[in-house]
Amino acid sequence: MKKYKNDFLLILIFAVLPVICFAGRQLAARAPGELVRVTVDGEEKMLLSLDKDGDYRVEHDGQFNVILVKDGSVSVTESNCPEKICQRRGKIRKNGESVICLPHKVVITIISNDERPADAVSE
Amino acid sequence: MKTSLKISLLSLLTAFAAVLGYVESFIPVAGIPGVKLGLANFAILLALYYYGVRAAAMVNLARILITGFMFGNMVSVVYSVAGAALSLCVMALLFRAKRFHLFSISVAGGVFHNLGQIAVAALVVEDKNIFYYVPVLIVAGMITGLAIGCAASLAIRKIKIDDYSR
Repeated sequence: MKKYKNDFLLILIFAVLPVICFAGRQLAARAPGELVRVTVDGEEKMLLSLDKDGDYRVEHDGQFNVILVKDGSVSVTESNCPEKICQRRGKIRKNGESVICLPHKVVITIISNDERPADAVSE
Repeated sequence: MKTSLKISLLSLLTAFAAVLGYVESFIPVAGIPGVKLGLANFAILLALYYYGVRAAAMVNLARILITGFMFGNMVSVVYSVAGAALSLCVMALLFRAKRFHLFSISVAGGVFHNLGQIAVAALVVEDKNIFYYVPVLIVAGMITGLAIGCAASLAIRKIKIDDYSR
């Protein structure tokens, strides 16, 4: 076992990283969200309110995703991406949570009212 | 004798890596975009162990090009190259240090393969929120890396290949 000392140390370092990330995330305010931000290819397309139920279709170049806001949660109910990972994500409702459709470059994030982008230039 | 063995073995490993890479592209992992099992690393580890860093890099590059052009598209090739490049760099460093066994090298490889991919995804999506996937990807990379690493270690122990050079 002693000959594996370096290996265990290495693995331990990797194991600690996600724990630190999770801890950091939990410490940051995890209030139930207020706004839903939808960006396509980095550009903000929609800013929705979590307390207004509705469904919205994001489409470009034949690629679409249908976003459903209901009962304080957001999810993707329909899409024509190849693996439909975005649909499998399920419902999100807290600040910081997000649903991402990588092939369509669609990012749906829940943000708090204070994070609301004014006319900020996003990086 | 050594050279033809080397050529045959590396070709075999390349083919093996290509098939593994193709098969694993059909298996979704935990519903997260971009995570693959890293099965192809099994062949890469063997190439690394028997013939060193350059051989492993060549096998990796070859199988990425093969699977990329046969079954994938430009985008998936970029993701694969990013993951493989970062992963191989780290594995090479650890391997050359001669202080680590294959299984932990594989863990590092798995983790950095996923991190490389998410780096590309971050550039594509231009949204820093994608980094929320990082912890899960690290864990996934560790698990698959460990499994593949142990399998590779076992294979090396059981399969007798004498006369290899590094």
